[in-house]
Amino acid sequence: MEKQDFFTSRWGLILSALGISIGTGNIWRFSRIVAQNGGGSFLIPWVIFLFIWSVPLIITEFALGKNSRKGPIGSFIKKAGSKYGWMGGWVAFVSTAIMFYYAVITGWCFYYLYSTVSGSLLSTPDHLQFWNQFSTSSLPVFFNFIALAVASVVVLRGVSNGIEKVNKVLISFLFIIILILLVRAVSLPGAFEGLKYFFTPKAEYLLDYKVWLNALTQNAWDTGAGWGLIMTYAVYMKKQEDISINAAIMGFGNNSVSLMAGMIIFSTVFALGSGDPLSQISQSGPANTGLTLIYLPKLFSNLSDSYSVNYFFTTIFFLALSFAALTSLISMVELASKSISDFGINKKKAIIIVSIIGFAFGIPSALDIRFLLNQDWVWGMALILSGAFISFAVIKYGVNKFRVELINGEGSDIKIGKWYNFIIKYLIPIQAIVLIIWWLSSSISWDKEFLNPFHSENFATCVFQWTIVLVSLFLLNKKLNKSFINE
Amino acid sequence: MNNYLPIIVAIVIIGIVWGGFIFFVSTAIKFEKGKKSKNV
Repeated sequence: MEKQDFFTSRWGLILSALGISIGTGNIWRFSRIVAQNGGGSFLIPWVIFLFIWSVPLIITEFALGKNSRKGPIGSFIKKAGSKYGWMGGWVAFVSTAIMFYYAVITGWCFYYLYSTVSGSLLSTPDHLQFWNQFSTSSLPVFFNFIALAVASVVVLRGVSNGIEKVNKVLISFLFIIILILLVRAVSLPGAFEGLKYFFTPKAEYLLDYKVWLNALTQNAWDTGAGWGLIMTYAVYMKKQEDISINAAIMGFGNNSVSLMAGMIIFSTVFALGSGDPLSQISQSGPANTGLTLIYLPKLFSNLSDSYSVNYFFTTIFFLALSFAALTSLISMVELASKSISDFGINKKKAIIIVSIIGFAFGIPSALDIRFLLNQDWVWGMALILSGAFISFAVIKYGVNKFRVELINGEGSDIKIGKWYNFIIKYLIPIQAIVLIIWWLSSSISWDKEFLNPFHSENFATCVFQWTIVLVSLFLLNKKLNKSFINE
Repeated sequence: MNNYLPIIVAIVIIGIVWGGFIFFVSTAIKFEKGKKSKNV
């Protein structure tokens, strides 16, 4: 029997939880989606969904992990019942499938940091060619290996000695770096125009349901709510630890970083960009890398006449991006390893298995961006279903009982009111169903061959891969239960 | 009015998001201090 490891302090737990949620999505995806959805018009629904999707789900995950002391599969079996272990399996599988290609993205960040430090990124005359050369070489495989190796070593060191210590340092530095970049960006001549666009709401966008659905999607993907990652970290929180305030800090902290990153990017692009700044921010580029890996390095290399200033700001930008990516990757490795070790396998062995499988399954994404895009579409979408399953587990357990006993129980600093019952029982399932229907029906309209499962981002590839996993997990349900039934 | 709109929205959005973050962090600090003094 392995000795249970715990987070040693509340701040260690909070910074680690922030490490889950603050990822490349805050810096990379957020600004692009804001630009595509009318600037300030997007921010209003984005804040509303923080209250009715992200924070309630984060609270739920904390409560499930803290009280079951198991990863997603065990948590579902213990709280929803033995019939629903496959739902926990789905939550764990989806985050693990995301880990396979997220390690590749983390590797990209590491490579760009390395290229900045070595000077090659700042001296290149063509940033698109720089990206093309890198992405078509075997270097992404090597950096995928490095990213997974670093994350696995941290997880191997345990919760208090590895995950907590690393997150305390990296997330604290990340906040400092973001603040330095923010001060520099908003003080650039012309930055005000970018901020003006960023905060100006336009009625036609506010009345567009697509803007609202995109805001909900951003919350579902970006805050870490509904991934099962928080549930896994919560296994290691002490009994006397609070849930509600910690969950709120995580949700608001994550969105604070997104807001700062948006202000940095809009200020920089409007101040230094040539041509139409909005099209520069909203352009996707290959694998949605256009803004972060092609356009921003170009702007940073022209930040001032001084090479040292440009070198400093480009380096800290990619340092922040690498920290954000790595802390999220660490939580994914922990979730996959915890899910395996819950079946009685030694934790260290489980981590090694996860890193080897993770590296092997990441290779197709590292070698072919179309494969990565496919996986991002299929499993990113699946997260919405994970969120719905988590709310289902609570409904099955009894929403009011869950709130009173597990959330407002031992250690709670504040008591959560009955509003939580309404959100979990009605709003989360409705939001999940609307989002899934909207995305899948949209995917039919953007691909004429929407029934071809071998296309990168369409209806059939999503339904096909989901069905395989769901049917397999459903058939394995009895086996999944065996390990937990006698506990 | 239109010139002030982005400023108003910025104050509201930043107020809610950053204000919320700072509020919950300071609330957590307050509770931690309370717990420590109880233990003493």
